Amino acid sequence: MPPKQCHEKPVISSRAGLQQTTVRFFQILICIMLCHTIPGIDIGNVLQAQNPGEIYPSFQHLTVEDGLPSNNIYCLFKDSRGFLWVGTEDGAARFDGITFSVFKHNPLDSNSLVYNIVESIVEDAEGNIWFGTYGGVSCYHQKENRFENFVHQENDNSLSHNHVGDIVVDMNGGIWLGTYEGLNEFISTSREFRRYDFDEKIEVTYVSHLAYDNHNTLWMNGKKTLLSFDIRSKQFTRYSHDAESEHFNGSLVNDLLLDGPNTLWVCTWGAGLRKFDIQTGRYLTTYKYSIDNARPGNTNIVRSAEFQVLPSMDTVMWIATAGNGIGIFDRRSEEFSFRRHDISDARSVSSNETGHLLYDENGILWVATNAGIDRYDIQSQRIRTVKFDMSNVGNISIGFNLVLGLTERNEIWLSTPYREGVFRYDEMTGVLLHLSLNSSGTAGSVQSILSDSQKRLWVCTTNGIYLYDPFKEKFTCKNEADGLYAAGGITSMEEYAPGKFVLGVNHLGVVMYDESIPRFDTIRVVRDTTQALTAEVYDVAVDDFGHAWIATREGAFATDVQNGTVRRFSVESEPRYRIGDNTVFALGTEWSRGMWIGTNLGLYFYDHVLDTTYSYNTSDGLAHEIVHDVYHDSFGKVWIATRNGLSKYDRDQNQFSTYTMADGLLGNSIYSALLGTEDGRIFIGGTDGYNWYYSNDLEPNVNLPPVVITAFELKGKPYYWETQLDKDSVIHFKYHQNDFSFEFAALNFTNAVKNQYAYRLIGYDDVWKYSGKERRATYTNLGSGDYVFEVKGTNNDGVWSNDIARVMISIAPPFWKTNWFYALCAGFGISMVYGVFRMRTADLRRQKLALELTVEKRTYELKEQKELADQHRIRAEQSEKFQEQFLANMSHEIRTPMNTVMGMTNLLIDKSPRREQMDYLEGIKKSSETLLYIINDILDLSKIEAGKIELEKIDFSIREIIDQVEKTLRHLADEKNILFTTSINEDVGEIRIGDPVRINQVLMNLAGNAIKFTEAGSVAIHVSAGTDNEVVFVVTDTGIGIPKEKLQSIFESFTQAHTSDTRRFGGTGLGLSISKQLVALMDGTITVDSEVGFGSTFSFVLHLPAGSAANLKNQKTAERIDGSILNGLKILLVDDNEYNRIVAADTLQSKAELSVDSASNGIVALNLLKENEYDVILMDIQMPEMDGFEATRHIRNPKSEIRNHHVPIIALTASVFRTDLEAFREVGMNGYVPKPFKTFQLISAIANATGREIRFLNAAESPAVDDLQHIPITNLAYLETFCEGDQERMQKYIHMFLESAPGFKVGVESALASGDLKGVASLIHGYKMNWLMMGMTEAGTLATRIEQRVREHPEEDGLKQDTAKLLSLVERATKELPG
Amino acid sequence: MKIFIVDDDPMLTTALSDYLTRRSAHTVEVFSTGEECLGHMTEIPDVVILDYYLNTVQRNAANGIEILKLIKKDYPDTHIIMLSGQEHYGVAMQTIQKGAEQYVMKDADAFAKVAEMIAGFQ
Repeated sequence: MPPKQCHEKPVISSRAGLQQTTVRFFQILICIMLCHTIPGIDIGNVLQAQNPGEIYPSFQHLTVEDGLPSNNIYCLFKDSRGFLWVGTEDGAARFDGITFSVFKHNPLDSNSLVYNIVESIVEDAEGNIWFGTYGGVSCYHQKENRFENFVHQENDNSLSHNHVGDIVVDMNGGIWLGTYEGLNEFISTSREFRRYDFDEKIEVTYVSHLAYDNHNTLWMNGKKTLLSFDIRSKQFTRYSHDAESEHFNGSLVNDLLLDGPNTLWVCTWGAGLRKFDIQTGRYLTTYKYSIDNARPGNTNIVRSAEFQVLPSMDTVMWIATAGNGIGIFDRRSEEFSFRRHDISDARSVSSNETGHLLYDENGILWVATNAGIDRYDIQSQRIRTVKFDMSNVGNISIGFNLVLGLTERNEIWLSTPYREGVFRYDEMTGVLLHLSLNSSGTAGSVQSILSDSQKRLWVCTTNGIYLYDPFKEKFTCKNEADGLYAAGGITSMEEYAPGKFVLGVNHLGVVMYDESIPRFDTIRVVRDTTQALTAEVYDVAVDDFGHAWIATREGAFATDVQNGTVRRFSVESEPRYRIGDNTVFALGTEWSRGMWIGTNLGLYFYDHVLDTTYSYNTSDGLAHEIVHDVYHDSFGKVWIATRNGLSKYDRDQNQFSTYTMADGLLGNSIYSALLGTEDGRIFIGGTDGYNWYYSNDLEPNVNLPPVVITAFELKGKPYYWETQLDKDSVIHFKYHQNDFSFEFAALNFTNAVKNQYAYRLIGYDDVWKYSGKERRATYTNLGSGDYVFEVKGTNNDGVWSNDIARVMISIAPPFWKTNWFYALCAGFGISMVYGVFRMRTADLRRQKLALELTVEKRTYELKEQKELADQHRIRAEQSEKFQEQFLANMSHEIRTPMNTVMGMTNLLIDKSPRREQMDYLEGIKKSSETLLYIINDILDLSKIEAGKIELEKIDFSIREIIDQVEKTLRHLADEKNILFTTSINEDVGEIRIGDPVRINQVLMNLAGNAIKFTEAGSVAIHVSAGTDNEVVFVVTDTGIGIPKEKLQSIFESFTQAHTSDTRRFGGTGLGLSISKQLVALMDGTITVDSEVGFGSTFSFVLHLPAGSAANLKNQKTAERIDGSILNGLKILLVDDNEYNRIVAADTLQSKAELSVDSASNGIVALNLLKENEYDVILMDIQMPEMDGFEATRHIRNPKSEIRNHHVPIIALTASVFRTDLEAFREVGMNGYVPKPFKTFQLISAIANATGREIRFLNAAESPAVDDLQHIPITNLAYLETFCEGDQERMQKYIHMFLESAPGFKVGVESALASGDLKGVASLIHGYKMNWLMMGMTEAGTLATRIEQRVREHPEEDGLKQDTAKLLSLVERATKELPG
Repeated sequence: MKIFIVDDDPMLTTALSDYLTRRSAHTVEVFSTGEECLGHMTEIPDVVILDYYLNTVQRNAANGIEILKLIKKDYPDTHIIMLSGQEHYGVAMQTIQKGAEQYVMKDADAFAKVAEMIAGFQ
């Protein structure tokens, strides 16, 4: 244990010296009357029984210095919001933990408190605070900050007397007042009083105390007796006097305290505390106390009482007394003990005259005294105090800086360097004994004491060490005579193994002492290799890594006890052993981990395992940077005694907590060593006593305080509003009321100065502003709008309460920013203008008619110009908007007649024209084609730019695309005699996922350009695989090339490399622009590299994941719907979107020969339907003017002028909700197509609606039928699997097919010829297995279709064609199959 | 098991009997009309596989559903599997209601399905 004399004040030294002259072995027997504790009782749980003798309340005081209006306190009350109210002899006050708001009588203000002597305070059901005074009663309306006052008047409806001693509120909200002349009831409706008196004729009832028992009974004192009053029957009952009562005249009852349903405690004047049984109406017991030693004041006067925990629980009662301070009544032992004012103890009760008591829900006992308010925080005072009362023994102070040691039998040993010898204190008996170390007075100053593993006591002094013999009650000395070199004094010792000790010796170092040998071995600690240790040793410690540690002014030294090597921890040491200050006061072992080092500048921890030193200082939460001792307890907590309080370090949470005198410490500066026991008790020495606590008791305060707004100032002046007290209140302000401040408080009264706050103003700053202990927030110059002020707070231990106080603030806009003001201004302005105009014209009229006409003409012209300007502006806006649509429209409109031109041209060419006619026709044809290209380009570009291009993500074959491009462009290349090649790297793979149409388009553009701009040489398309599913398409030519300066703009619209190119090479110049945009749409990049005269290389890279052949096959079947089934249909397309109309019309007309009329909304459509008949209507749902639903209703309405009410209607809709689809059906629609639509979906929907048979295109039918002639129509894969590869069996089935085929053919043909369509169908149906076995999928599909046609549309021509096709397939198969 | 296959498509009857006999030790007899099959019902087959359309070759032949009714009338314990070239919900329900065990489409999986069901009857 460390001695702390090194940094003690010199004045103490002289006193210590004086004390050291007391050398005789003497004993002081000190009866500790009040201040002893009994160990082993866990007081952490407050509900657990506590012996009054254990309770040493530590009071904190509140006086006029803190803002109280007077120190003479009459009553205390805690309201529902958590405020403490105080009634004094000079006004009332509200306390929020820090500040008092004072309320006093103001003769000039009728809304102030009625009288300044306040004897009782209570809160009614509406939240108003009532004050009973000597001069009437006040009801404080908090919301309005207004006192409503009531005084005695000369009528029966007023207070019966102005002296109101007590007020209670019953469970129904009734307010009862005890006055000097009887009981009064407050009538809230009429604001009057009803008087009740027990027996007004005989005696006046002075009701100074009331108690309400929750059973409609009021208890009160009569003049000499105890009365009860039944609230329902309004009947008084008087309880008979007994001898005790008779003994006293005047007011016998001081206070009444209900204890459960049957017991009433009566605090009396002279008869102590009396227990009254409500059932029997008799006093059960009278508890009186006796004061043995003469004390000032009167005995057995109990002014007030409070239960510490809960009534009827086996616990203590606190009583207020006249002259005896605070009394504690133990209900088990039925004994009293008292805690009186002690002028030398700042924490004792302020006065021996105590009045009203209040024990609140947070465990704080509030005491009204004539010297202010005392509060005792029972819950939070977890640090216990033992103080030795020296007054009776001539004030022989033991002095401070006690050092403690513990031996068996609960003996606590104390020592101080300033007193010779040691003290032994018995906690059980409260006896303090002084023991001298020797009789000669040469023992030296006691530096530290140690109890070893055998519970023996060792005392280290400046002259040696002393071992205590408990039987002889004598000390044995070991000093230089025994080989202990102790010239510098023994500072401290530690036991590192049973019987093996390490001693710290000043100016020397470490001495090892083995008791069994016995021998002292000196290890001389050197600061470095050359310099010996010269400093004093402040502390020693041992760790379990074989080191003896000493703390010195030159750093800490860890000495290996085996080999004597020393490691120094100092400012000069290498970083891992470096500490901030060389003055090391304390060492604290953390077993199996390392060593805590307390210095003059911070706390350090040497982690032995990690071989590193960590630093902790005040910024981490340490109470003070000067550390006097460190103790690592058995629960893993580190306790640090500092110059300014006790710190606890929790390694798990890396958090420091600080405890000070407010928590019960004897002093904030702790010079003493810390001593811990295995059961978790920690001892701290102090002046004339010590503190102790359980390690686990010092946990954070768990009471979460309510947070309230205590004051509000508007422009520096207090402001009150209607709903101020509500949890979520609202204030409405005018625009200029925008400077205000809030004051707030967390109503935690335990160490309230440590409460912290955070606030924000939502709408202004949504972030919590952590203001620390600041309890005020100010906002200035807020703009109009709605804000919410929120504030939250912590208790003293920094635990955030979940309660948030909230005020909504609405600042109105200034009147000149309101709508009505605008309206007013507008009206005013108009009338002004009108007035001026009237004056002007009247004037003019008076002057000259002609001038008036001119003015009118001018006005008209101006108006016209303005209108024109407006029209231009609107038109310009629209023109921008419609520019692209216009282009698209025009292209679309041109394309339709162009198709006619081309079709007719082709017809004429077929009519064998004359040679020159032929030339003209060829010219027309070429020009038409060129025009169509241009139009298609424009359409494409418009679509891309309008974002109307929907990219597909489908499986497709790269090979197919390249083949298609090659096939299309081959003849162009051939014409120019250019070598045109395509190649695909094998690593590309066959199937990819992407949009084949768009890729094809880009390739066509690039390759088409390449051929166009190449006069001789070659054009090549090469496809290769890049990284990460990328595919690289490269088009190379040996053409004219592109100049460098043009490379930048080559991809822009209407750009060609050479200005004359358009004329020379033709084209729109849109191709590259389209290509670039398409590639970009596909998330790819396109680049160009070129050299004039040598050619160009265009390449684009696309991300195309690998696909599967199976998917491709499925897609193809569905997509191969035959559009021509819609041939001849007349379609009405109703859609407000231009592009949708164009796309739908284009799509349909490209697939079938049909006519499409368009309408932009329902009304247009209805007009068309009045004139024309259509086969089907494609109807958009959402349209302006008239939507699709409305239009359909009109069409289906038989009374409308529509030609055909039953025309099929197909909804075009983006919605896929079932309810919508049902709505379509309900309104009379025949089907729907989801947008954006796929061609085959549109075709099949129209086919279904018009009853057209759906057909799929297949190879046999496609235009490229010639090319496909060589593709086999049979596939023996299935047969091979079926026959398990057995050739013979396969041959058997093939033969069956070959043999049956001619018969099948003949049968079908003859049935067809005889018109027996059912026969045809039957034959075909019966042949089904053959399609499967021979792998004739096409024939199978065809067969199914034929059967279906026979059933459903036998009249159609297609049946014959299909049948013929099927038979030709059978014919082909017979040739194909190996016979 | 004794299995009768009734279908007027020789390709089917051949293939199916081939498929069934190769995979298990079944006895299979093939008839091109339902009437022929009825004449052999005294042999008490375990399973009759019956085509829905039986009049492709002989136009007057009864169709499968009539044959199904007749078989079930006299031999209610015989398992009957209907075969059909087309998927048709109404027909399927009709045959199931008349006592057919299952309705199998004539497609690439038909053989396996039939075999699987016959295995289930054992």
